[in-house]
Amino acid sequence: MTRKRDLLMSPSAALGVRSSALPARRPAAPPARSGPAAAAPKKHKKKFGRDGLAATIFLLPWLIGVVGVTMGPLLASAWLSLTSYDLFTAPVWTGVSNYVRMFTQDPTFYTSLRVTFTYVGVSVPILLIAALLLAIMLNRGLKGLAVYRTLFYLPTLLGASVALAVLWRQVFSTGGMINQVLSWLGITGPSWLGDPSTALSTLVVLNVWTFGGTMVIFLAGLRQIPDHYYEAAQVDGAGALARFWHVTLPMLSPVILFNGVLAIIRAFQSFTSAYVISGGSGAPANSTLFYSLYLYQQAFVNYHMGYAAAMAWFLLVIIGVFTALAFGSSRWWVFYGE
Amino acid sequence: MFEQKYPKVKLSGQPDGNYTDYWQKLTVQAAAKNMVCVPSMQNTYMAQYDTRGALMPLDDLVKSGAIDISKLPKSIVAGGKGPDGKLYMIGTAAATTTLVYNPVMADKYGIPAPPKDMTWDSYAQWLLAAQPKLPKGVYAADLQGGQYAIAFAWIRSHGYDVFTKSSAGGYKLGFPKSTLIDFWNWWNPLIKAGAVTPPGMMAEEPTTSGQYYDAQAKVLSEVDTSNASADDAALAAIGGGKVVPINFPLGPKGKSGEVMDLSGLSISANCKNVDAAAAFINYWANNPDAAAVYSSDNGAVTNKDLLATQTASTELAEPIKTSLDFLKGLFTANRPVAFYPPGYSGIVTLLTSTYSNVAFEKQSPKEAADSFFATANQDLAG
Repeated sequence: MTRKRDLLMSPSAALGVRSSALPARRPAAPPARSGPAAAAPKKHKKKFGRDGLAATIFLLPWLIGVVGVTMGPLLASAWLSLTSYDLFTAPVWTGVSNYVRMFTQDPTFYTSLRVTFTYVGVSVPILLIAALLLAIMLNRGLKGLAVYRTLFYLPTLLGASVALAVLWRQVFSTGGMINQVLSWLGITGPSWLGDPSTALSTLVVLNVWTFGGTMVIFLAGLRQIPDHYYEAAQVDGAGALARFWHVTLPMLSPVILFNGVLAIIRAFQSFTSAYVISGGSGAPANSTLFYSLYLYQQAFVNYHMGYAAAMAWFLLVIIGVFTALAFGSSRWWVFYGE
Repeated sequence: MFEQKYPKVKLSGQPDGNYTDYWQKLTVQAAAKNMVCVPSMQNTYMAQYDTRGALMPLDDLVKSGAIDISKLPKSIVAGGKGPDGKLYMIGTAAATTTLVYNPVMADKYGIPAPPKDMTWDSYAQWLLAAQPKLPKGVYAADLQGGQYAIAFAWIRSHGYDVFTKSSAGGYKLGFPKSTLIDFWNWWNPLIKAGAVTPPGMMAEEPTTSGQYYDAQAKVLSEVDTSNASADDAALAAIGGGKVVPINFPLGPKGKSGEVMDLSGLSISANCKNVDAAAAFINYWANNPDAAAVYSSDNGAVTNKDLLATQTASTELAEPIKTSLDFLKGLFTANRPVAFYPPGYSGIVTLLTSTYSNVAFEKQSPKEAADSFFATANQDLAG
């Protein structure tokens, strides 16, 4: 019983490993300034100034990029979101009317939100689980690991490309590869892309299929876990599942957080696959109308640039909230080492 | 050829990518006020540019004789005018999106040609009678309750304008909701009889002419462009067939909802070399050599003399000749050039997605019409 209870504690406590052997949760606090160092602030300041200058020079290209390229459009889009702007004539100030319309008069806005949340809610967990399981499989000292890793990474290279979405359209069409295989089993497959109840699932599968990047990061994380943790757990009688639950998962939790946040952001911004597969319309019956696709329609089909800018800012808020939730909750489930 | 005729003028073309890319690029150029001097224009997008001051009125150039429009049909000249009555485009090629059918397939399965001067009812009856004769997997028609050309033809044939000016200065839908609901309900007997493609095939249909279901021999009839060159080539690759245009059905009072679409040339408001631009437009509108080279590839040449020469020619490809004969009929019947207000392309997308909800029974036709009218009128208001 004792062992069981211990195993539910942090790995360092459970395995009897000295905490100094594990990565520190946070860098140790710098020693208090006292003695000679505190007595010679001038020298320290001078050194900091040189470093600061070097850092500024190295950061300068990025700073110029942010201030000169990113900040301008960012602020402009914030302002445009408060205007009516058709791209041809000068923007007309309309205050918060775009936001009011978005929340109170546009049912399609809510449809696109529902589709996007469903997509994120389903595809992100499946993507993370699939990538983690494959990474664990590949981490078992397989022969030709590099070949497998490359093969699994290939779909990611094609990722959100138009070519892959076109291929997907062929694979899932009524007469496509999936239905061809099903017909050999005597099953008449549905119209995967044409039926609103299945169209979004094809996009989920497409997203999950591009697990390679996530998997490679998991694999790198797995290889960082010292073997002696597993050996200690084994000595304590932990089975494979217990080792996974009490060693692998906690040690990998920072990587899970990282991959999770990236996957959430990417899924919220998904566009290309839905655009190509639905011909830009979100068909059938708006079942693949991602938020970003609807935003595109408003901007480049209807030329409602102000409204599209408002939608973009709301997307930023959504992504910000989910990212904050992920980081905020990390204190309860992410283990950085004690 | 133009540069040989006008050696002092140097032309510089721009790659335009595909159709959608071209309009997006032109919009950005117009916004930045650096649009090319002579942009290709269409009635479908013209209002977007002329109502926002991006195009130069051409009336003075016509008056001065720099551009000769004497050989263009009145309806074509009228189609190049903006809502302010000024001329913004010289239509050099007319085309239409209409019903088509495959006479080779009809002959093969013993199906008669569609009735002449058919009404919506007689067209439906023809489709219902044709379906039992067709093999499994081939449908009498494509389910197109969300296709703008046939929907707008229905609306016009019932005596309404699709778009009208609103009192607020923008535009609004010009027909009652019941007309749209009736159009959607018109498809129901065809759906029940299996005479149209199942709703699931709507989203799978490619969006490029020459790849539609008629070009894949999956349907006997559907809406397509009148120029079937690409369809015939596609059908030839899968065992043969042919696509020919037929008139949209007539409304209850014998009214036709047919319209023409116009491609042409305009001069941008920021153009500095207006004389050369006018000469270039006049060349494409009236020069026999230019017409011969272009060979009505993007719609029938609008100059009446040049059209007569082309239709009499024995060298013209069969699908283009068929299309020209059909379009000549529209000229003779004085069919108008369609007017599309700014933002019409959003309405087209909205119509497709709204009907999709009806076809998949996610909304009743009335609910869908309510939703369509609310969103469309809001978008059209500007």
